[in-house]
Order: sequence, then C-alpha cells, then structure tokens
Amino acid sequence: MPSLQSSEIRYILVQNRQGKTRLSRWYFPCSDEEKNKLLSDFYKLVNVRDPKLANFIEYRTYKIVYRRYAGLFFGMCVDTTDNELAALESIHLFVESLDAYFGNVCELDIVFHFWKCYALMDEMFLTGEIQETSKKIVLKRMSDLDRLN
Amino acid sequence: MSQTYINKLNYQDFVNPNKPNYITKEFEKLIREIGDCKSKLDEDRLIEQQIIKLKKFTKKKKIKPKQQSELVLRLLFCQLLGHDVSFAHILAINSSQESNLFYKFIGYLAASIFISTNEDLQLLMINSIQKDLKSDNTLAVSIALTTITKIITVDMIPAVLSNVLILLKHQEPLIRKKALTAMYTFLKQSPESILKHQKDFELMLDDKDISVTGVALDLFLFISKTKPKTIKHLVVSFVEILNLIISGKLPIEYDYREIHAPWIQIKLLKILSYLGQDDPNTSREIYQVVQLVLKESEIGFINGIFAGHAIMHECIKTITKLYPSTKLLELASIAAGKFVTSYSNNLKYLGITALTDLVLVYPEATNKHQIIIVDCLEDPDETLKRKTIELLFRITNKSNISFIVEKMLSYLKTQKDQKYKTSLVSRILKLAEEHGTNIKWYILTINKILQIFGDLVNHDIVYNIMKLISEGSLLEDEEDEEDEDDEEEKESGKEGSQLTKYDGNTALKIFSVNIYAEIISLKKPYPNILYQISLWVAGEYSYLCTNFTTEEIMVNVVDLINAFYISDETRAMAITALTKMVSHSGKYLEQIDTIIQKYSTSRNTDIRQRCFEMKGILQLPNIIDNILPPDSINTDIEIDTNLEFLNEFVENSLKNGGKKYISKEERIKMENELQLGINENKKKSKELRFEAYQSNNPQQSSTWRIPQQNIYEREVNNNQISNTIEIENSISLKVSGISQRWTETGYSGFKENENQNIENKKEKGEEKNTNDNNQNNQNNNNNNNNNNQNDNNDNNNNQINQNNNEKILDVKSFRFNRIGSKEPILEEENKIQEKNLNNDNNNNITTIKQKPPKTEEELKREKTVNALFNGVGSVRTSRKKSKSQKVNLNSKHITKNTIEKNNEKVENLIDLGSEKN
Repeated sequence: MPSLQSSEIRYILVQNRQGKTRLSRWYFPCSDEEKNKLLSDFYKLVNVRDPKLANFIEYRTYKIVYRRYAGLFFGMCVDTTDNELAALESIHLFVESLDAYFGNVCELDIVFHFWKCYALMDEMFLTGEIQETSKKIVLKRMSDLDRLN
Repeated sequence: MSQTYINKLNYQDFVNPNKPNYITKEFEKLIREIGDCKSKLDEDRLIEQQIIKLKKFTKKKKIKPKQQSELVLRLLFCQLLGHDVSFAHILAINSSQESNLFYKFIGYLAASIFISTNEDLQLLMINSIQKDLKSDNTLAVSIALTTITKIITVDMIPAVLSNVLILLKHQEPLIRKKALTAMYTFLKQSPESILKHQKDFELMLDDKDISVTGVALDLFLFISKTKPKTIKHLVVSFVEILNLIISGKLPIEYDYREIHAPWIQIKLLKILSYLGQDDPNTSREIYQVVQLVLKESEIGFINGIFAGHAIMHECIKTITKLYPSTKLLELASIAAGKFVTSYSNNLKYLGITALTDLVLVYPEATNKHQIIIVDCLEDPDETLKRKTIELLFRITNKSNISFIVEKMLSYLKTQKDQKYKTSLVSRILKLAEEHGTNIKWYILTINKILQIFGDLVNHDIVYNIMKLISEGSLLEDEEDEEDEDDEEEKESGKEGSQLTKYDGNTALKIFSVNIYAEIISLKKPYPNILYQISLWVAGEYSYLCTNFTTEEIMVNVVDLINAFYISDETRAMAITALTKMVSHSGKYLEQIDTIIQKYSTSRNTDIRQRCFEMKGILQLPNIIDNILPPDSINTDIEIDTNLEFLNEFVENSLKNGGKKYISKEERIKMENELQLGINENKKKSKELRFEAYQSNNPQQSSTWRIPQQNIYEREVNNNQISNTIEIENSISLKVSGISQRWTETGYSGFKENENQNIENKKEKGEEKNTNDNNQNNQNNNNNNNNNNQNDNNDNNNNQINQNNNEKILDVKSFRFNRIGSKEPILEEENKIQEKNLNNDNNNNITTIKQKPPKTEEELKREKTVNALFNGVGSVRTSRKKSKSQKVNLNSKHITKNTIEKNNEKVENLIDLGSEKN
C-alpha cells in the first residue's frame, strides 16, 4: 500500500445530512474499520454544529475543515499546522468546479456520476496536495475525458 | 439520501443526455434502489444480490470491453458502499489494458481505489503502466501518471523512474505537472534516491506554466521541512516568484476571487518560513516580500470568501517563525487583531490561534485585545473556547491572573468532559501558584476551586496549603517588604513576644482560620478535600479565630462528624481536630462524649483509633498541653533518647531489689555464649540423629519411593491382617520419611490409613516435587503413578513384584549412570533379576513366600556391587534399598519381632557397607 506521509490533506469526504457518504478519498494508508470510524466520527462532529460556528474542528491530532452546501457536507482533514482557510477555500473551489461541470450540481449528480467526481477530485487534489487551482483547466480535462467515448 | 428528497425529484433529470454517463439501465436502477433504501440492512441486501450477479458475470470467459468497464463501475460502486469485491479486481486490471482510452481510464480509476485493499494488484498494474508511459497519446500518459501517484510503493519506483524523468521535459504542461506529481510521491517514499534529481525539478520552478511551478513547490516544501540547508540558495527564486504573483503577472485563470493564485502564495510563504527559521540572514531577505504580501492580502477581504484572510493568516504564521523583526511582529499583531475582532467565528478562531503562537515571540501582541480574547470564552463554539483557553494560559501574568482565573472557572463550570476538566483544574491551580502574588487571593481562589472541583484535584494541594498557612506571611505580599524585614518579623514571631501587633504569619493564620471556620459552619456537602483542609486549620489555630469562638467551631465540627456527606477519612480528621481544640482551649462539650461513644465502635479502624486516643488524652488534663501543643507543625519534637527523667524511678526500683538493666549488646553477647553451649550439645545429638535425617531427606535419590511401597504394603495389610493398627503405626513410623513428615504436621499413621486415597495423591505430589531434581527416577515415578491408579486388591501381589522390579532397575540405572564401564556386570545382574521377575509373575501367590529370600539375595548382591563402586552415593542407595526391602519383609512377616530382626540385619548391612568404604 502506498504510504503518503506528510501530505497536506489526509482525506476528503462528502456526506449528506443523513450521514451517507457520497465521496471519500484517502491520502494515507488506512484500514476499512478505521475508515468507518472516521466516517461516523465526521458525521457526529459535523452534523450537530450550528452554521454560525467556525468551520474547523480539532479532531484527534488533526483538524477537520468542513463546509455545508445545501444537504451535503464537504469535509477535509488536514494537519494542525496547515492553513485552515486555504483548505476551506479549496473545498469551495472543488464545489465550484463540480457546479460548473455538472451545471448547477446537486446530490444526485454526485450519486449517479460518482466516478466522474473522483476523476475531478484527482485533477485537483492528487497526492493530497492542491495541484490545480485553475477551474478552467480542470474543466478542460474533464471534457477531454467525456470526449473519449 | 432521504426518502423525501428523492421523491421530490425526477430521476431522468439527473441522467443527463448531454453528459454521457455510460451506465446501463440496470445499473441506474440499482443506484436508485440504493437511494430508496430506508435502512442499512436493506442496502446491504441489495448490494449482496448485486454481488452475486456480478460473480456470475465474472465467470464468463469473454466479456466485451464495454460491458467489462460497466461491470468495473458497478464493482466500484459496491466497494464504495463498503462491500468486498476482491473477487473481481482482475476485471479492473483487464480494463486498464484495453486500447480504448475510456475503458483504460475506468480500469485505472477503479484499480487505484481497489489497490489499497489488494496489494497483489500493484504488480499486475506495473506492466501496463510502463507501456502507457511510453504511449504517444498524452491522455494515456496522463492517466498512467495519475495512477502511479496513487499506487506506487518504494519497490516499484525503479521500474518507472527513468520514464517519469523523461516525461518531466514533455511539451504538454499537463504531462509535466503529472510527472512532477509522480516525482513528489517518489520523494515522499524514498527521499534519498530522489534528491539526486533535485537539479531536474529546480528547473521546473521556472516553468512557463504556473501550475507546474505550483507542484514543484510541493517538492520544495517537503525538502524545506526535512533538509532546509540544501535549498537555501533558492530563496531568491522563491521571493521572485512571490513578487511575480502579487504583481499580477499570472494568467487570469489562476485568480481566485480577485486574488492571484492564493494557494501558490501560501505554499511559497510556507517554504520561506521553514527556510528563514532561526536564520537571521535568510530572514532578512524574506522580510520585505512578506510585508508586501501582507499588505496585498488585505485588498482581497471579501464577505464570505476567505482567500485573502488565508494569505494574511499564513503571513502571520511566517512572521512568527522567521527570525524576529519588531516591525513585522507589530504588523502581525495588528493583523491578528483584525482576525480576533472579526464578525466571523472562523477568523476569530484563526486570530486566537495566531496570537497563541505570536505571544511566545512577541508578548506585547495581546495587550490591546485581552478583553476580546476573554470574551471568546463566552462564545457558543467549543473549538474556539478551547483554543482561547490555551491562549489565556500563555498570556497570564501577575496583573491579570485574578481576572483570567475567574473567567476560566466560569468556563470550567460549563464543561462536561471529565478528562478535560481534570487537566484544566490542575493547570489552573498551577497557574495560580505561579502567578499568584497575594496569599489571601490564592487561598480564596483555591477554596473556590475546591468547592466545585474538589474531586478532580490532586491531593498534594492539601499539603501545599497547610505548609503555606503554617509558614507563609500575610504582610510579606501586602506590603512587598524586603527580605530582611521578613526575617526579622519571623524571628519576632518565633520569640513569641506579646502579639500586640500581629506579625505576618499570625495574621495569615487568623485570616485563614476565619475562612475555614466559616466553611465548616456552612454545613454544605462540599468535597472532602476542602473539609480536610478546613478541619486541619480549625484544629491547629482555632484559638486565633476572631469570627467564631472555639465552642462554636467545636459544635460545628461535631455536627460535621455526624453529617452523612463526609468520608471516613474526613471524619477521622474531624475527631483529631476536635481533640486538638479541646486541648488548646481547655473547654469541653457534652456532645464529645456521645461522639466518642458512637464512633468507638465504628467499622473504620482509623476512626476507632482516634476516638480512643481522644478519650485517653482527655482523661489526662494535666499533660494535655504537652501532647498537643498549639502551632506544633513548625516545631521539631525533641526526643530524649536517654530517658533521663526515669533515672530516679530506676534507682528506686533497684533499691527495692529489682533486677539491673542489661544493655542490648550485653544481652546479645550472653545469648551467643549460650548458643555456643547449646551447639556443642547439638553436635552430639546431630550425630545421633544423622541417620534419621538421611532417611527422611526427600532430596536424596530413591527415598521418594518409600512411601509408595508403604501404600502397597498397607493394602496388603488391609486384606490379610485384621489387627493392623499397631503394626501399621510402627511401620509407618519406621519406614516412610515422608509419612513421618506428615505426622509431624499433624497427620498420624491412623489417619493415613483411613484416607488412603487422599494420602496417595498427596504423596504423589511430594514425589513429583522431589523427583524434579532426580531424572533417573522419572520413569519409575510414572510407573508408580499408574500403579496407584490401578489399585486393586487382587493385583497387590503383582504390584509388589513390579515394585521390586522397578527398584532393581533403578539400582541398575543409577549405577549405569555412575560408571558406564561396569556395564557387563550390570547386564548379568539384570538377567538374573528378570528371571526372578518372571517367576514372580507366573506364581502370584507363591511370590510372597518366595520373596524374602530373594530380597535377601538382592541385598547381598547390592552390597557386593556397592563394594565394587567405592562411592558413598552407592552405599547410600544400597542402604535405602535395604530399608525398602525391609518394608516388603514387614508386609510378609507381620510380627514385630521380624521387623526388629530385619532392622538389625539391615543395620548390619549398612555397617558392612560403610566399613568397606
């Protein structure tokens, strides 16, 4: 299993308000039980928070940065020394890109096109670092993939 | 997905015809059904059905590429819902080897997700990856590179490294970027081997495409964390790039909400902070650009978008890390102030975080914001509050301690997490100890903490407080007097001069006893720890109390003793306190009698003890002051070791004919002399006893078997003889070393007889113990155990024979071990013995009669053999053998006379053996 230490992002999650995980990407080696634990912890932590509160939660030795978009929570686990706001903005950039690609994205887009979302995620956050910050280039890459077939 | 949410929407809207999705209607149906599931159970059932279907598919030999990629997507779907689809991982590999790029893409995508659960896949992937890296199609190369970043391990790096290095110079920025990303993953896995190629990615910093530069920065960030010295020369380049970005010379597509490439700016700042850490020269190169970035970032403050703030926050962090520059630190603290005073909780949180780090290098940073910071404790956000507490711990000083501790305590009351609370309480106590300047305040604060969180506090605090009250001085901190004056004051206190004007220490005692007497009088269920302190202070200094009379305090203490909410430990302390107060004041309450009466029978021994002590002390009013002098904690008790005050008494008693005292040393001398005399006597007796001990010593070889034979013999007795008791007794006494031991500890021969089975077991245990040291006998022991189990009266004779047999064999093995060269003789002996044995077995009944002569023969033979081996050990064995023979003899000729005769014989034999030695 590839070990990816010291990457900025440890995992990216997308969960709905009922706690169903829509997308999850892990940038560190992790067993299935551990993943389930992290997923359920994420839900417990995030779901109860008032929208006025800060978008950061200290979790174990890391920080969870999350943001709610309609019925979906987009979350990222980053190192405590990392810049939380930058992580928050990269979540926003990801959502914007999804929105631009699907055209007014909603939860069902993500459900039915889950593998495309993963592809888009790979364009932006390969190896757990933010790699591509230009929405235009990301969209171009996605349309390239669409044109393949 | 909620039921309602689904129902509101038409599914067709989401399978957009303009966006090809490549999924079949069947798969679509599955996704919908999963969406409709009300419980996890339903979902699992559906997926399991699906997996069964998929298994059927995978068994088909030929699957069309299109169908295959669709299956792979379904597998991926099942996997993501947490089900094991390892049976079909191979499909993903197959799909990745298709020539059609789309199928290839699906295959790689799925494989990179499966791979974390199946390591064998990596090896299967590497071939197709290598092939695709050389492809002419940029997309194929890109997909392969993407996959590498996800699945690569250290072992696989050499297989692809050369290809990736070539791709770093690819004309497409996309490929360059991905190749560099692949290099980044290699770097993280094995830094040493990749740092050789550092030159290659230094070039990438100047890449035309900023996103390639961005990835290169990831590599340098990694290096700057681990080996900052190797890239110091690049500081100029980093500063240049940063200048380039903030001057807006990048393509507009990298702007994010009017801010130029914020993520790249942040990466650069991070690298610079690592490079400038503890390095004044490098830091000086960085100061200017950081200041510029900080200034620019403010422009990007837009509602709801935090990109500008993110950069500013990073600037503060960088400034904190760099070699300190007062100007920059000033700017940073202003920036942090903007965060803290912000409307948004996110920014407040970051402001607090930034200040927490900043105060360490620039303590003035928080001066202007203290009130705002403390207000953050009243925010509903727990994350923010905890962070604020951390900051408060760092900014506490003598001037703000009382305010901050008060705020912290009110925050603590709202906490529910016990573990966090406990740690926080101990930290607050430590804080009060460190920064508290005023003893009055300190005592009051500690009391406040103990009242609420007494159960969470370490008991050391009790002793700290006691020490403080007994030794501390109140004037000291109120008037800030010089040390010399303090000493003078203490001296005057010690002299005990008339306290017309109280010295500092007494003032403190008066102050504290008033407080603690009040606490006792409140009669609230406070934690025990608070009452323990209170009772101690009240007991020691009740006579100094100005707000209460001693009687009042005593009444309160009596009430407290009877209260249900205090622990036994506290109650015991209360009784002692009461005793002290009675002795100090000389006043007595009637209730004390009832207390003594009630608690003299307490289940708690400590309370009982103290009650009796009190009772005893109160009966001696003359010396009561000497037993419990006031304020005794600081006075060392002098002990008169010579007990001179008793001299008179001693003289009187001597005159009256008492015995003179003999000192300990003299006594020891006398005892030694006595001992010597006894020892001489003992030596003689030892010689006499010597043999008896020898035969009883279980550690010597073959002794262990004696009790065993005793058992058999007893069985024979049971069958054949009616009046056994006397004989048995004599037999057991003479024969068995171990059974003798039993009799010593209370088992008699009769008892043994009655409880044979139990006895057998015990003896077996004994044997095992002794046998551990004696491997020669192990086999025999096993046999004996078997014999015990098979005890049948019918077989008695047989067993005796077997026993004899073993014994002989044992002698053989013993000798054999001792002197291997004598083997031939031993073998002859064996033959003779075996003959005898056969006879025995054939004629069960006759053996008994035939036995005695045979054993006589054996004895003789042994004797001769022993004579051959001039060893003490062998003689001993022969003696023991002979004793055991004796047992057998006894069993057959059951008269005392024969036993005696045999004993004589045996003893003669022993004498013979020893003579020969």
